[in-house]
Amino acid sequence: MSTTEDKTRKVKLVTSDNEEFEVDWEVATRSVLIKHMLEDIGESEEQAIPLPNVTANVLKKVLEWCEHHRKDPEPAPESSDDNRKRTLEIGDWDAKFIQVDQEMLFEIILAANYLDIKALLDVGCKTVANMIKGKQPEEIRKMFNIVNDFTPEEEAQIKKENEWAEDR
Amino acid sequence: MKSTSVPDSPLQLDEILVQIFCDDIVQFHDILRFERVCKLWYAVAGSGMVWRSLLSRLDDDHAPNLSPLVNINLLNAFEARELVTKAYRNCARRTSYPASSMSPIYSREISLPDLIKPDDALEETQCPNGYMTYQLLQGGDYMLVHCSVKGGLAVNFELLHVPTGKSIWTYSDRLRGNVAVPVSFTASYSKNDAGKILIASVAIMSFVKDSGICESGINASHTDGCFVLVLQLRLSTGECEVVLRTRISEPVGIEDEGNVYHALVLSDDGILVAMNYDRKQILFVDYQKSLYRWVALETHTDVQRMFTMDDALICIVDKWEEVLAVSTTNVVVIQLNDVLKDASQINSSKSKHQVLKFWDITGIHSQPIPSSYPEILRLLSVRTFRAHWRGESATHITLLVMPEDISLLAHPPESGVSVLNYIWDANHSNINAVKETCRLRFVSKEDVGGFERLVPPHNLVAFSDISQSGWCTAVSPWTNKLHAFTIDALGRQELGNKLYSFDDSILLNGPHHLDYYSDVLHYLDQNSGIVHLYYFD
Repeated sequence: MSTTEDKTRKVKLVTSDNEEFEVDWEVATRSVLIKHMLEDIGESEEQAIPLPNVTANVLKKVLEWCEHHRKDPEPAPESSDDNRKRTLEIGDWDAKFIQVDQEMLFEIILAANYLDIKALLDVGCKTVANMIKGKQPEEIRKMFNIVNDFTPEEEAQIKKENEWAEDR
Repeated sequence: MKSTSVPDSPLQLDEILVQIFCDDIVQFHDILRFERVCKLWYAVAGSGMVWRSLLSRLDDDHAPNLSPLVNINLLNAFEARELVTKAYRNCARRTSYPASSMSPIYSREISLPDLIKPDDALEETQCPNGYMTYQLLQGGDYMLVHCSVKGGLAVNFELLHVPTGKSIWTYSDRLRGNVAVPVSFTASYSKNDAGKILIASVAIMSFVKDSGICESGINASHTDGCFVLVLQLRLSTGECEVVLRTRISEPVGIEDEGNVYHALVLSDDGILVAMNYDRKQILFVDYQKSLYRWVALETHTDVQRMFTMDDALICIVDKWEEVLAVSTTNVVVIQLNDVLKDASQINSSKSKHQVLKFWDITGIHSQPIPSSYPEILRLLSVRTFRAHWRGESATHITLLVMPEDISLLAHPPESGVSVLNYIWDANHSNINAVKETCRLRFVSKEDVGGFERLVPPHNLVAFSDISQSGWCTAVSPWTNKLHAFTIDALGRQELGNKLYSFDDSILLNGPHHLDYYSDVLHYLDQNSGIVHLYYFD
């Protein structure tokens, strides 16, 4: 639970390329990772939080998302039911926010995963799901530059197993 | 390429791939394609989480043999995959229409005028076609035909066994009144009497003079220029019960048949809902508990469609907002028990005209449809999604939204029509927000006058409801030819892009219907009075 004092507090974040960002506590703590780190270091305002896995341009984008969602309710704790429904609809603002090139989209997903920002990760994953839905394997490989590491025999075998369901 | 120190692509991280593969929009056939991308994707697509996620979205229609005792969280990948694959195999068998055309396995024509027999003791032997209506019962085997004669309300019901054309039950009555208003009726299989068909009808009469269904029990004062509403229940075995006979106040505009509208819907647990003429009032009747209540529609409230689902009445309601000078269309859910709480007793003179205002009903749930053009919205289907083995039951209200409305959606598609799917969770008695905005992506190539042209779906007209196997039909205005297309019944969210033409050119000028349970396409040719039925496998 955040206090009034927390809300006025500033947090310093340092990226992998040594850029420093000073942001509101409420914005920074959209990230569960940062929140836990802040709890660990206590009240020290001067101490910067190192984020060695995120570059400045990506963090800037992530913070833009956190700023917009600063008032959102705390995400519910992860359900033990691994089949929880992912019925998230991407909102208007998020849809516009995530209209970035593929490189940045992936960086945002990785950063959201690393920083433990579940809602942002959901937006990124859903965007990728939309991109690959209905696509043929070859199209997906081409889209993401993925190498086909199957032997022709292995590929034929997989195709044969699901022949009955072939792209209905 | 700038890089962070984590791997370049999240698509190389199995935890992220799993989340992507478990997304609701990803379907069974997508997973089969993902398996073929590379070895990592093959491994991830084979994980238990992915298959349990697909399994969790199966409903009773497609996984009827799943036991309520199945805890899907305890299933391994192999077990979950077996169950999902089996469901899709069954579905593939049912819906494997040839890609180029689809023909009915057989068809029937039933002439409604031929059903009127000279010995019906009617003064008029010719029924105007406008007064002849029919209802196909679930499954398509039985058809209830009704004919009423102008100038004196005659109630004629005939129940036909469609495959053989045999009449299995008839009912005739003559209501003497100066104004004849078409009887509204509905039929369904009786829950309490297995194998029998329950028919409910509502009649509104004026100047009731003698004999007929309201002969007894009507006070003389009610026969002088007043309107009487009669609700009857009949079983196909001939038993008949008059459920309610009541006087209607303020019969405005009933001389004008254009103003007359009274629909009748029947819920599973014995509650009838009748909407009164001129769309002014709704009458709720629980005939098992002998309760009734009037609900008044306020000045700017208009119910377009209504139907019962589980223990609720679902209405598509237009509401004129005077202050904003705009009309909004709402999906409204009313719990039947809420309306009938403290309702009047049938056959009791006390508090007879207990009228409740529509928007004052306790626990009413309303969700606006994102459209400013309610008149061009079409209700595509109402379906209940049940997964008994997960204790889930949700009602899917699917609306087809025409292109003018699309710009108002959060993510307007580039072309085509959109489908809005409202999900109503019966357990929580509420309508959740619009869960999905999908689009029909198909485009048909049609040969029109020697030219091949593309027919985008929004140029198709007269959409039917969706059948259980997930297809619906539409008419092309250029050729007046009927097309069928599929909406993936398994995925719910996924709209198919297959468009078929029937081999036969079926001319349709008016609305046509698909029987939800049996893929029977049927429509009434208003000119000839012939009902055409096409049975598909």
